[in-house]
Amino acid sequence: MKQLNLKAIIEKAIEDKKAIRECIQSNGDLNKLAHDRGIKFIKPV
Amino acid sequence: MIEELNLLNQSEIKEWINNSYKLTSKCGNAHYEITFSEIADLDKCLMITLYPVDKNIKGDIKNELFSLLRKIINNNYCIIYICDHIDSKHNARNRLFRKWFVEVSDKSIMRIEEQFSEEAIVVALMKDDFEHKELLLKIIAEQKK
Repeated sequence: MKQLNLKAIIEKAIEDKKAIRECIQSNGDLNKLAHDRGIKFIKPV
Repeated sequence: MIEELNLLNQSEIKEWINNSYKLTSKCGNAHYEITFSEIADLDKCLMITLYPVDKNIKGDIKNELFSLLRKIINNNYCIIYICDHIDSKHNARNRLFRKWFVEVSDKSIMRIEEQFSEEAIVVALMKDDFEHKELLLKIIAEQKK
């Protein structure tokens, strides 16, 4: 890992989290959200 | 511990469709979606989001959730849970998540909690031997300076 601005990373994550919540609770399309916001969802198990 | 949790679990969970796990509460009335997404530049760290599909219907998902998290953490990932201030309940959400962790987790999983601003509490769950643990702790410590 390189030198990171963790605050900036967390701020971006908070915005992503808000968008994910709105998408789920409005029965939206997470694929489209991922594309639009550059979110990389993964299936870890 | 996993066997004990499986015995406690009453509902089928963890179907993964369209980027999220579907989780039904123990009594079957509440439905949740759980996502895991990569966090830029933090190797093997995943942000979890967990939301009820209907925000007015909530249920007990503690055992199912931590059963899933344990499997992921044992796969050598760090789970990052962000308690944000969107509804001004970030402290309550953090207390609940901590309570669940104490109740159903085991000593092989470590928990780090950091207040990054007035707006967010960040919680990290990982195995004690998580391969990027020292680096992650260093980044957090540097952030606090």
